[in-house]
Amino acid sequence: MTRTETGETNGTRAWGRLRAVFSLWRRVITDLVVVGLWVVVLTLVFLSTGGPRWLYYVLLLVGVVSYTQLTTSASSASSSSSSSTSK
Amino acid sequence: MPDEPENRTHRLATLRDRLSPDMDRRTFLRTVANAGYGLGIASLLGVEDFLAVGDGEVPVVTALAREDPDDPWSTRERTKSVPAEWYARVSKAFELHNHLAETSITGYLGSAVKPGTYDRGTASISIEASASEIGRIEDLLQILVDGVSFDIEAIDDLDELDGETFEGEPRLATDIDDGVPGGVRCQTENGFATLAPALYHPNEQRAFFATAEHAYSSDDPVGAPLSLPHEEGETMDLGTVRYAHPVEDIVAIEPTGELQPASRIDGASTQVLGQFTRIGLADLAARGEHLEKMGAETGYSSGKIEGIDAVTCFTSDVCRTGQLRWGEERDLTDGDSGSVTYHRDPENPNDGVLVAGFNNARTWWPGQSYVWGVSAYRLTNEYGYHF
Repeated sequence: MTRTETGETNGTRAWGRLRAVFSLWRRVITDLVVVGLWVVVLTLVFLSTGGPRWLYYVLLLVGVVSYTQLTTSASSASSSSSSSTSK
Repeated sequence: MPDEPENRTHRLATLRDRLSPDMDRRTFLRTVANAGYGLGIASLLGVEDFLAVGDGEVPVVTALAREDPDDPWSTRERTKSVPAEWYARVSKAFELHNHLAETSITGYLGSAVKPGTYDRGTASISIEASASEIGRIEDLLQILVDGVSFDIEAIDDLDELDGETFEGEPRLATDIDDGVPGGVRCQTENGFATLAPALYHPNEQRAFFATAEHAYSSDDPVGAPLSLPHEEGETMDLGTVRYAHPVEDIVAIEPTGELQPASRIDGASTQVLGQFTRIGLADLAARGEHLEKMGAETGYSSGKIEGIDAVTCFTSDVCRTGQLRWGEERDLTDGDSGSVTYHRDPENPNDGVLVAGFNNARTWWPGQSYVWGVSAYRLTNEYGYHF
């Protein structure tokens, strides 16, 4: 009984670690794609509208910061809910 | 770590407490990393090239034109001053557009650069993608870019196009004593097309007849004949195909008979003096100038430039680059392929015209309406031909 329980715990932990690594990489790749796309779109918009330089950089940074904040609150909410369900 | 000696139960219990301060630090790092990455991409794209550009003008090469109208080998670069801000944006749009075309995204069907007007100093890129295969990322990009190009797109001059009458009869060659001009019907083994004005190749120091490659149905039309139906009923031999370029959709025909190609457009009574460069076409687009064509079936028509340096992957697995889009789809029909698009020489409007590119096809899919074909500058850059 004890052995199986330990075995299960080890398995769950290994699985959890794998999932953590996987979700970290997914996060990194999503960030690269989304931020890259945001910069490309912003550049195309500025090419076609001719906005000022300061506005370009302000929008670039505001976009990146709000995206990061938004996805962080969403992911922390989902991770806390998943940890409570696993309990 | 201070938690290290504590037992596992306790560590699990404090996991969540440790998680939230840890998340803040991670969020901070993520924000910094994303911002740095975003700025890095921006500098990689070279946004400073157009964001930092000041007022003023820069000289650009708009055309390759003859010094002596009768000597096709006297071509010189024609320069003009354009607003620096406009030039910086249009150049950047060409550069980004090249990157986009080379990325070969799934579902990508084509794209083009649309230069804006001088006073706005802008440029945009329009992208076509297949609705079924497209991912939501490309969708997003397409919507955003389409939205941008929307307010810049020139409104079509419907009055002028409505007023046009298409000739029922094909345009046949009449005056060929001084050589065969472009804009008349020519005949291959498989059907009819329109003859282009004389195309010159510097390596061979001679003039070629030229028309659309798809007028021949064989995969390799080299050696196949081209003939000229004359108004008086007879059909004369022009020559045989010397070079075939299926991707650009043109063939160069070596004159084998008595007839020689002429640097003229039939009907328009105009001498061909050279050709426009890519930025020269952008200059025409910025000024809202119309391009003209003389096809053997639909005759004369004119229309606005719809896109420059375009890529089309609609017709085959191979994407065709360096295309020019102009006018409306009704400006071209079967048998007009091989005709050229031209505009009067901006410096010597009374002396002749400069060629913009070939007309090879038109849109037949819903949602878009233009004629397209390979640009003259593309042929020059790739093979050395010039008009």
